[in-house]
Amino acid sequence: MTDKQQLLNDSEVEAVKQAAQDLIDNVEKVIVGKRDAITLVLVALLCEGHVILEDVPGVGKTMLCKAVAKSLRCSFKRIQFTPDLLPSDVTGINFFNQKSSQFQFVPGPIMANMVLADEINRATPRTQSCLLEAMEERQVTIDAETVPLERPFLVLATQNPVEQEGTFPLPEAQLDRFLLKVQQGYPTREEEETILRRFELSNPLDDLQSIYSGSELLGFQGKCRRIFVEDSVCEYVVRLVRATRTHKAIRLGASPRAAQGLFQAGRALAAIEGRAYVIPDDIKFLAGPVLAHRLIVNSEARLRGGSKERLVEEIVAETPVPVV
Amino acid sequence: MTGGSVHKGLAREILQTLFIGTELSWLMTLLVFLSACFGEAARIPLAAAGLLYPFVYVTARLSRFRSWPAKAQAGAGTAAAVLALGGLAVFMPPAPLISLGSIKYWIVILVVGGFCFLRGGFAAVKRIDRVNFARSFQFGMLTLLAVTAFSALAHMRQSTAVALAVAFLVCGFSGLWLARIAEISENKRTLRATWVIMVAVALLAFVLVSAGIIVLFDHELLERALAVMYWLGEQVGRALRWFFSLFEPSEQPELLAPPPPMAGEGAADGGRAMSEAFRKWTRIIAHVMFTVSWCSFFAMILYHNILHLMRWLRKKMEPERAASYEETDVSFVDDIKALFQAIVRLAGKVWRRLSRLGNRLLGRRRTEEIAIAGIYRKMLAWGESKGAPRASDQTPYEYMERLTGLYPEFERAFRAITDSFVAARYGGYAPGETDMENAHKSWRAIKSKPRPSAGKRSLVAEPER
Repeated sequence: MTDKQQLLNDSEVEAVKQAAQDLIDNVEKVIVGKRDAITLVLVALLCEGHVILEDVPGVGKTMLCKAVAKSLRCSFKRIQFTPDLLPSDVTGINFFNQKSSQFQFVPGPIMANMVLADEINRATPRTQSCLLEAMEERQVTIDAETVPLERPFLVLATQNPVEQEGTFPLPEAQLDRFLLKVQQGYPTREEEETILRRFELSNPLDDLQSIYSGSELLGFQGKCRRIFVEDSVCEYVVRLVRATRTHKAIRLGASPRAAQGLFQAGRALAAIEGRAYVIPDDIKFLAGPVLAHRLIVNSEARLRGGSKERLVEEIVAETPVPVV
Repeated sequence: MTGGSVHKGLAREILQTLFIGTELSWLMTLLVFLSACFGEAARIPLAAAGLLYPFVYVTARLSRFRSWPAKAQAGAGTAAAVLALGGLAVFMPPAPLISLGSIKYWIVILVVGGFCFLRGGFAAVKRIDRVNFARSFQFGMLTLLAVTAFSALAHMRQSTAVALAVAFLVCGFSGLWLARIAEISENKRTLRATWVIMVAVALLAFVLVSAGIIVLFDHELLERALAVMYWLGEQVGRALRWFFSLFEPSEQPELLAPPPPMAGEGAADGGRAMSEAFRKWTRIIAHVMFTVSWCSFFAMILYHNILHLMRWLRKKMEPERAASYEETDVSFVDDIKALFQAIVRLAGKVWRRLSRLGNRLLGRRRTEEIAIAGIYRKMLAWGESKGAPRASDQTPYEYMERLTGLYPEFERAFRAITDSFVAARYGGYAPGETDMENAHKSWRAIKSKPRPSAGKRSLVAEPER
């Protein structure tokens, strides 16, 4: 348990909350009505987790990633995943410079603070794996040489669940490396009208200003690590995760990495809400986005058509919340 | 009235007036004791000092003494009074010039003059509004001192003088209190008429009480006064007997019967024994008066210090409410109630801080955390009794939303309790005093009201008809 003496004071919590609010407000200049999705991306940002946005085409997945990236004065690179994309296209290569007669390293697009991996399921598993290694290890190995990635490092991946032809869906075991899976969904009628009006004359993304730098983001991440988690809340996280391993419809439950992710994400969400401590509501809110994509359901459940999110909701409903 | 706030109001004014009144009793008691010590010889100068003192006091308090010349005026006035005393002591009979050689006279003059000087000097640093002065109890001082002077000049027994002074103070204070209450209740309108009436009533009461004291306790004076009445009654009786005797031829009417002996002469022995007893009682009363006056003086000082201390502490602990602790005019009862509430609240705060420190040192869970958890449990039990128990998977906020949906009128109460509980339960933040007060208040509001909301489902199915 975190030593309470090192916990955030009110001003520090307020600073994180204000920063989160500023970022959300900035992104909302582009993205209409998806506050929850923006908040989840922000959660991942604050606890150095990666996000996969899975949704139908045209709902603003890439736009969201770009808006978040532009709000931070960090280096940003986009990788459009295609079936012919090679790992070296992602990580970089050493090429022989004939002028200098030396091998010269050309960094790939992954050498950025924020990487947008667009349509990650369209690349081959080999290319996907080099990205996933970088996500996990925060380093890349090129020609036996390990190159650490600069912090902060965040991967925002998108994938389309509809078109399955010519795609290589990420296996659940590898999806485990993503902290959160975010689904935006279609906008409401009013939101859609607002989108049309907002993009009528120009693209608001072009006018979006950066409001925080990478170093500031690192500072906020450090503050989030000092958010207090009470023993019973920690135990609640563990009970939730362990319940996924014993559910009758789940073949493979969430891993300890998932428990760790849920724990850290709860802290980040508490900081965004302006609290120096995590409450069970944070865990319940994050349980679906953090756990659902990591589960492997058995064939019976798959045939019945039940979604993983629904399974997580069942598990949450069956797990008592520590109160009194 | 802000709960727990301490006001300048009638309480302070009463204590101030009591202080002023008891100051007079000091003076009078001082005079009485000096008279008892130095006997008849000191009576005249003491009486004169009693008469002159209020002029010095009034002069000192009327002027706004902030500059040295003004204070010098007060000092000069006091010095003049002392000199006047000396002059009176010299020239007023029965103190002949030769009494100047008597050390007793000079001791008396110095003591009384010193008292006047000190009191006048103390008063000189205070500012008093002329209008308020006119309404204050000051003019009663003149009456009291007139009583003192009269008692000295008219050979009244000391016990009677003391008792009259007590009666005067009691009646005067009562009149003042009534007048002030009337003034405040009329929202500070000018109440000259009411003041006059109240003070007149007080003086009348004083006269009646004084008469009662004389009748009941000062038998010598009473009998001396009654003897005349006895003689008059006898004369009337004789006259009547003579008149009726005109109709009785055999008997010789007795005219001009010798007057009966003075009641005082006959009752001298009994009266002497009584006077001893009452002298003893009056001495006790004088001591009590002296003690009361000193106690009220210290109470006044204590009151002021507690007032300032509490304001300072409140500003430290609740700066956002500091602005509310301003002076207001409320009734005397509210003022005293507020004072005691503030004292109790302050004592409670100190106690809670000490117990928090103790708990921290002993590693125990803080009492506020336990308390708020208790209140939350009560709220849970209440919800369960209303047919809305908390589900095991419901967080406190989810349950709060559910209760709010059923009882929207208690939304703020539910939130107040839940917020404090959540902060304590998951964050380890002990609720502050304000939060605890809100939680208690919220719980009282929840449990006191019956289930009022319309459209509630009945938990008991109505029988089919």
